[in-house]
Amino acid sequence: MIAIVCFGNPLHADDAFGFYVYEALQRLGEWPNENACLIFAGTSPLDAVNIFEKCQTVIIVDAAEPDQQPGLIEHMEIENGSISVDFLSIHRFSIADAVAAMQAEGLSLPAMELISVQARSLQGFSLTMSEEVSMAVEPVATLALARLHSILNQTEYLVG
Amino acid sequence: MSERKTVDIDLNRVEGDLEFQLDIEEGVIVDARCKGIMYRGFEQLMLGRDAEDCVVLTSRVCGICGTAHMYTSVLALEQIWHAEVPALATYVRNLCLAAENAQSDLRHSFLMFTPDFCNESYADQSFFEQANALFAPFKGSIYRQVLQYSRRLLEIVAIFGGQWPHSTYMVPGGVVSEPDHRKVIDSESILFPIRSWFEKTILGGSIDEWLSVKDSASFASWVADHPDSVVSQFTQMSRQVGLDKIGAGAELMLSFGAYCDSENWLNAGDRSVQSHWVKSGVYDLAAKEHLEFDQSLIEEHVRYSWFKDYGDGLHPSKGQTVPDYDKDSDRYTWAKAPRYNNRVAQTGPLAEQVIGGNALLQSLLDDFGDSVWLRQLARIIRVASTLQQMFSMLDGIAARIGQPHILHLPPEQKVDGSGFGLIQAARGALGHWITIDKGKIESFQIITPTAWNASPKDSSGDPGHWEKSVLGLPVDDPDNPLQIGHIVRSHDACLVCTVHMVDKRLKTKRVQTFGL
Repeated sequence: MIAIVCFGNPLHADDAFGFYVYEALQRLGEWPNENACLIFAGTSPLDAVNIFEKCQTVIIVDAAEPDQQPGLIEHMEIENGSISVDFLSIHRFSIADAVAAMQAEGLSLPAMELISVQARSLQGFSLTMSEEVSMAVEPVATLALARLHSILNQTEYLVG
Repeated sequence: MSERKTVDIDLNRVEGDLEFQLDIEEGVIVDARCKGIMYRGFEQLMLGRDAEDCVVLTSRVCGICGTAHMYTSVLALEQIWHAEVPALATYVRNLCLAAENAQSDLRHSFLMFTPDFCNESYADQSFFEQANALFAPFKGSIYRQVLQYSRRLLEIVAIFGGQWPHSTYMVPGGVVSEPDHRKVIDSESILFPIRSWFEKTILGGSIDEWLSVKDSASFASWVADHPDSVVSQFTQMSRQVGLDKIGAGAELMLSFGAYCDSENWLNAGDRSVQSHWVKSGVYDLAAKEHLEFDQSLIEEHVRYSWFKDYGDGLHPSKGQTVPDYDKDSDRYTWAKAPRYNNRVAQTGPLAEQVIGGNALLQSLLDDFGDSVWLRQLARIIRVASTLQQMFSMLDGIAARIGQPHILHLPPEQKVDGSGFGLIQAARGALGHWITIDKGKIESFQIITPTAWNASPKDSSGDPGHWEKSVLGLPVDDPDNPLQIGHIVRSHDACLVCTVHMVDKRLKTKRVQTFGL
């Protein structure tokens, strides 16, 4: 299975990014289909391990901690390997922790790609995203869908 | 005269939005201000919305205990609407709540609390190597096993409720998904290996044998006879560093009662019959006296909170949550100060089980007093009884397959009024108070378990439970306040269930970058 997994909190300004990309993808495609599914995973990456372990490939969509130009879109491959541990509480497990958890459990990591956008504002209980991040929703949804189609067109997926 | 100095201790490592401000004299804490530094505002989000929206919205209050919030809201609506609930629905609700509580107890105990035994400050302790072998994050054997089993537990909520977290399968009058034998069997297949693991590894014996341990002497024998069990090793490590001597706080314990008794449950005003599988109540530690619980005795104070002051305490049905941030005043937190009968109270697994009649914990409490160790031990061993209850709940569901799982309410039954829902979440007593006017939510107040435990001072200046629990504690190193961390962690703090972001620890290889 291939999954596009969107993370985010619609109540926290730019952290809502993944949620709005999820909504855009719902409009752009038919889900689930024979080869892929679209999932909104909220704010709980540790529990998304249940999804990750069933997938060959996962495309993750999420906002990124702001330290660069707000609205900057980055497409990255998540690499297998050791991850530093500095979590705060069970309420704050991150995608990094989810990857570490899979490794600790001896689970095979799927191929993982991350499409993120640099956040500007993380204001609590704000229903409005910043303009830069709002503008990134449609392009990221289009990019995620393009990546999905590209992966599906690879021979190994069509065969296996 | 000794000098008094004030230090701010950042407890971000323990809980995201928590700080402690401590007044210290001669190296000992003489006053404390527990600061919740994030405004949540769910009460405001609810105002003016359709009454039933609260069920969906409050399941988003928390990413760990959303089932508990949803359950609490639905109970409040059912009280106002005099809704009868079929026994099958109550069994399903209880089962999902139990699964959520068990995963929370396991995760907090072994992903958060016990890793602190691996802190470098304990490098000289004899247990340090063994603590790392068991509890080191992502490496220790117990840590890795809990990652796996806690995830599996939550699949039970998904089986009966469609998803976890933030489920929405409860509605006034029942649950929306019809239970069947397949769901029961699938859930049992998840539970059997978890019970076996818990018995073999955590307890060192069967749950039935464990539940026959009824007093301090029997517990000492169990620890001696099962030295390799996690319960025994946790106890020995805790006592070695004095966790059985610190952390006592409020002298009142509070429980709203765990798991509605499906056969004795009618949530309908004057006709109410409400009993729980684990009974509600209040326990006075000083007087060693069990008391009946009366929700009308709850009040919230905001004298030291960043909310518009309304004088003395108010019952949550009349409560107000109007933000009034002023960093230059003597107010210091976004948390309110709940009080029971004008007294500070603590809540959590220890309170729940002592009030519910757990003879072992009552004996340990009588003999050793309230402490970090006992509070955390209570959380670990609650999983044993929760797993047993879950099997009983599945039996109850199996016996009722085919019976109604929902009794739909006609529109005319959805009247205006005020009501409340009370429940035991993983962290303790959780309450929602709601008033409906013209079908819309006119007021909504939530008191979470952590609101009780992390309470600031009240209108009379009486400190909250955590604040009390650190008084008299020596602080050797404010930069590594390990003991304060132990105390706060023993309550499974929950001040934030909020932002999630990609962080900088994720190891990635850039494919492309572009701005707009």
